[in-house]
Amino acid sequence: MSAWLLEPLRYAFMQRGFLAALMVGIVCAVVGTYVVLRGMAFFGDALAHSILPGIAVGYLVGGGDRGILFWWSLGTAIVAALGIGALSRRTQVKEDTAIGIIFAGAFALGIALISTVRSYSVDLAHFLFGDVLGVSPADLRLMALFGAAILFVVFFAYDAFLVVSFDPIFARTLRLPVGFFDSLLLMLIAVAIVVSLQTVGVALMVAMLITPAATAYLLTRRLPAMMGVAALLASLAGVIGLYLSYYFSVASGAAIVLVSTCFFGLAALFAPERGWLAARRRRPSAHT
Amino acid sequence: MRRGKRRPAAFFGGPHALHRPGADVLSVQGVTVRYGPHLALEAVSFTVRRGEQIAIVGPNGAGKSTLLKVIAGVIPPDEGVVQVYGDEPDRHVCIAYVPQRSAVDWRFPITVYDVVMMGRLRKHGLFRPPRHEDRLKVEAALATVDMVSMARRQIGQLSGGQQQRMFIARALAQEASLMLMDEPLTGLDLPAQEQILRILDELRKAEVTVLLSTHDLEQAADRFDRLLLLRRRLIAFGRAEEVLRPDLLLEAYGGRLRLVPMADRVLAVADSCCGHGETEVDR
Repeated sequence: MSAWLLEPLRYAFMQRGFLAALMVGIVCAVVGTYVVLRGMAFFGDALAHSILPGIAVGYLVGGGDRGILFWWSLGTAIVAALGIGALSRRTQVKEDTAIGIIFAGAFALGIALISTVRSYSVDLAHFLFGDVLGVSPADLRLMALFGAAILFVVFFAYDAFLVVSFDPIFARTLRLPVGFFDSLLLMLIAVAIVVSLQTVGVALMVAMLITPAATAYLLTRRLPAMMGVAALLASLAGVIGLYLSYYFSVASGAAIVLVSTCFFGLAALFAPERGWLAARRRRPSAHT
Repeated sequence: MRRGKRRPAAFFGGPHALHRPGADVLSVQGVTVRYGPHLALEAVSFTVRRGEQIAIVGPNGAGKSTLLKVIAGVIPPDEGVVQVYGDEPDRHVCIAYVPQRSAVDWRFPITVYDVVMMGRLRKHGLFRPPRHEDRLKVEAALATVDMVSMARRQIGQLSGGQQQRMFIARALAQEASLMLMDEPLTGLDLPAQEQILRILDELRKAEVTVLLSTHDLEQAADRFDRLLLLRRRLIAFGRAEEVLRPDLLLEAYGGRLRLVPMADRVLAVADSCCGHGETEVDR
């Protein structure tokens, strides 16, 4: 058994993959807590897809240089986050429609740009679905730096994010700059997405943000506990997913997300208070 | 004053406005609020004295919530001026706004204690943890509303009356001198209503000024110093017998109010959302 567990760790690329999966899991889970509580799942999905044109330009300009790719993604993500945020505040059509149009359009632009390159399908697959085993030491350093920055901001502004998310009108009577903290949260989500790009890619990104956080939501009753449990489940899903990927040759991003989804399924069934079984036990007559 | 021209409040809450000596607790002058083409409030003016308890009554959509939010400094008026202790409301942190229960997500992973502690956020500072003093204030606030045993509950486990008392405890922890309560009694059973009215009596002793919106004209007449009858415009403002006159009630409620003639008085039946808006009106 231990040989089976240690086997993949002999390879440096697997070690880096595990580190990346752990970091991404923790950062996305913590930020994702707010995505779940504020009902921003669609925003997160849209934002992840909207970065593709930025990735494409970075890819075309840098010719495959990861550093250049990262900064282009980061810039695009922050612009897209604030843009979508502004869009949802003032729009003629319904908010979700407006976001849908913009994100599908941006996504199409990204695909169009990447399709001009000859090795198109392989590269596109990496951007869409991630390539956690291709993470370089330099990539890891950038991920650690920005991941730590995100966690620092979440910790430092904990009280403000809590009040602004739970009761924004009360936050305004405390004369907190609610708009500032809303925008800050959008930027944290954007940076978390960029940090995670290589691990899961844009297509499955939303799962990293919401699935562990939603699972933790079913299991806990206070925000710090929710963040902790979400981070733990995400790390676990990352590690298990990579083992599955190694031994069964499953795409790594998909494996991580599938493990995470299984955790959610289990919690939805068996959570002590919010699970399906608990609800059924509370009112047994409903099913007879 | 127009929207957009307001003095910005200090960004992270720098120095807040001091209470000017001799200024009214609350002065509302010519306040008009528009939502697009819709007029929510029109030229509303009144002043409130320290320690008064005011009931805001009027039909659904009369602008009661809007008025409270304007006073709280959450919605800037399109025209007119609101002053709290002689200064703009959005420069004060002594105003507590107690929201309708439907305003928050009750499944949010947060305990009663956490919510009440939010009232201390300005006292201990945005980026600092609560001090011992803050904990004492939160515990005292919970004791005042008889919620000490509920402190560690997740908020979704509370009854409607307990939810409302938790919000009032948050306002107490805030040490507000002006409390704005948006329909705290609506939808509660009578014992739960009575509990909140008893807390209002405590606030009266502490000289906290209260503005409370309600659908219950009878309670408003019995338990409050003055009534403010609102239907977009201010229809009447004064003691119960000055405000609950058939002509004024008819103007406010229109067809939604039935006036039932009795032997020596008129019974006004408000056809409002919570059903029991009956009160007696002297002829």
